[in-house]
Amino acid sequence: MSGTETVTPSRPAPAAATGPAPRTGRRRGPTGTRAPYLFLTPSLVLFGVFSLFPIVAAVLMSTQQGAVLGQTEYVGGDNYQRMVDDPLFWTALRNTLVFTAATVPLSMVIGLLLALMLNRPMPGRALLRTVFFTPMVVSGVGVGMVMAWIFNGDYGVLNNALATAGLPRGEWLTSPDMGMVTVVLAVLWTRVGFCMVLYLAALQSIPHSLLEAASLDGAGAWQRFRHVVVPQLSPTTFFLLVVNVVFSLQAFDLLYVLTGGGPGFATTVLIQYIYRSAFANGEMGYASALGVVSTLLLITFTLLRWYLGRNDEDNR
Amino acid sequence: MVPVHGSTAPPARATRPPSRTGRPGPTRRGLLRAAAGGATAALLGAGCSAGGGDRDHITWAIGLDPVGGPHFQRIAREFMDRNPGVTIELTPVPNGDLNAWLVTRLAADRAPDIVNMGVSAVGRYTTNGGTVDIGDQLPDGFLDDYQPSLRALVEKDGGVFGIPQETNCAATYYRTDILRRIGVEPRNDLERAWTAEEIREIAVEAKRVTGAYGLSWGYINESSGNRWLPVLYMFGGSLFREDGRTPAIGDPEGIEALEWTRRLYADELIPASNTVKASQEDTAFSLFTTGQVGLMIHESQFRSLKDVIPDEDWSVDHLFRERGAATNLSGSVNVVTRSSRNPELAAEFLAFASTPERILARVRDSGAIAPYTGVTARDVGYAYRPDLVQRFIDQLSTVPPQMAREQAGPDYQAIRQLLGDFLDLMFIGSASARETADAIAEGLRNVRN
Repeated sequence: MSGTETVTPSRPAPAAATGPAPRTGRRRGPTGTRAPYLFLTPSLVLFGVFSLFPIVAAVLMSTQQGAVLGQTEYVGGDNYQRMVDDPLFWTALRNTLVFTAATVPLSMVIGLLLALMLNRPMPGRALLRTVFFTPMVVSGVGVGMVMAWIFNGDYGVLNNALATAGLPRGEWLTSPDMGMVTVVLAVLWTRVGFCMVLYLAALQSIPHSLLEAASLDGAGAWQRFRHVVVPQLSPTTFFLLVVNVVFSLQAFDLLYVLTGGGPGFATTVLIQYIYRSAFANGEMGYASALGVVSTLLLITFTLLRWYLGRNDEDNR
Repeated sequence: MVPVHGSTAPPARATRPPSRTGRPGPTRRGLLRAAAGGATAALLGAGCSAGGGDRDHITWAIGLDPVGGPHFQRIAREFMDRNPGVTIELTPVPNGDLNAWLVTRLAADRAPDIVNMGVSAVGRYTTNGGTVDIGDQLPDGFLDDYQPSLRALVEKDGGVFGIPQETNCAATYYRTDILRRIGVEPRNDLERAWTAEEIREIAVEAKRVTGAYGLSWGYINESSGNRWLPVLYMFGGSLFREDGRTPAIGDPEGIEALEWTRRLYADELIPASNTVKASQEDTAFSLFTTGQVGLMIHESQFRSLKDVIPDEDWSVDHLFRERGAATNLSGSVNVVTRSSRNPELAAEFLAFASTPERILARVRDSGAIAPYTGVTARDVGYAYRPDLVQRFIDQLSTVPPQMAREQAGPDYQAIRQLLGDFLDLMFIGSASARETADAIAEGLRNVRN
């Protein structure tokens, strides 16, 4: 499309000009102004009780020392200071970021590829969609236990298959270098189906006319994908990005069952460190401080992505 | 007054447009009202259903034990039959979630009246006021026949904070076929049990025979590092000095115990899939039953071996020893929580549920060990291999008193986690025995101070 040509879409005239006159005579009394708030109230109440209050309580608890049962003591910012000096916190934070950086883009890219594949006519398409999505609805604990059997170094299915094929056995769960790789593989299996389903829905909502117009303009398959499909998928991508980051920052059950944070601390992530600080060590104050940092991390990421996304929108 | 029913009732809202089914469709207001009513009912229901409620109603949280569950249900039914008007509600709680579940319930004062918990968890709750003293409700001398190590867990400041239900400890399983090929005879004598060096030599030979490994260890998850502690104590070491605050694991005996264990992994006598964190519930057993190891250090849970490998292919000997003998202590305890609205009735029920007849019936079914002193396997009447259970019963006398005292402390779960962390690092070859001792010692100082 030439940059010099100005295309002014023919907009329908404002309804007020041709349609019936607005019901300006209707009195917008207190009921009219209250209605939005009334509709918001249930959500606000639920948010306040189940999200805001726990967050505020966690912030308060993070300034205390002691168990949830028994005596507590106000310690100000000591828990945060301790966090800075705690090497295990930094290990857990690094592992969390590595885990997130690996699982989020991979699950989205693989999910998109699967969606593109299943968006075209092919035999067994409905079955494949179900097969890919099923892991998403299986409990993390169940997946963890099955994966532990698959990846076990000595009697696991995978190593036996490799040995049968004459290939060397892998130290999937026993080597600090491979531990995170194994965990990422296990999580991808559960998550690509979710990304696939959402991308599939988004792909099917792209108007054919857009793709046809691009074809008429001479766009090849890659150009159609790059300049038509990808921008149209942008809202879904943004949603998946945020949701997947949340999933990754909160990943707990599968990792807990599969590796217990090991080998050593190779797969200990922040949420697992919070859990053990709270319930194994009984340090609710410290666990709350870790939780506050985790929440801030999530909020920072979401705001950053929102800000960058807004700039993209402005530039488009 | 006109009865409003059947065809005589006028339509509720004659002016409302009918839905596609012909019936009046729901209004927005009606839906909102229904939703609000439902939410209120749900909240009220949630509030009333959890925790100790009526004075004649007892809630009892038990683990997901396939044998214990039906046994506890039977006892609850018997008690309700004898006490009309009293109801007992059993709540299964997955073992792995007990702490998270119970701590939050206690904090909200919504915990069940009675909780069946592992012995390693009791110390925390008796110390932080999560459980109540039921000593006054128990007959005099109720705990006199119990194992001293178990009494130490529940008796505190002259009070009784729970009733042990069963116990267990570790011994040495061996494959008879493999030992025959090695030419080693089991000792079957607690005083003359294999030494640590001898068990290592047998493991080396077993590895040669199996072509894989020599020994598996009963670690089950990242919190099971305490299952290594018998090694520390049999080498003459301990976690703390007598003052209970100064770590002693860095003493020569502790280093020796750590180094002995480290070499088992370094020489691949124990597989890397059997470290503290890599292990699952059945890892040690799977290695044993598949013939990848000739020896296994584990508790008395061998009912799971029945029908898996022939009885004549395996047996149990006492745990190896070094300067002294030692084993670990596990089992379960029933406690009355501070949330209980009727602790007297709960304690009465606990005493009823914990008569020797009922406890012996339970361990007979589960294969665990009775919590009493002087009770033999013959007294209990185990149906499956009672001679082997007797070895575990004999072994139980070697639980180090100092270890049992540590286990009764408020911070034992944190210590278990600590051991799991740093033993795992050593087992995978990322730390030496000295570095491991130093790391654990620092952790112990933080825990106690």
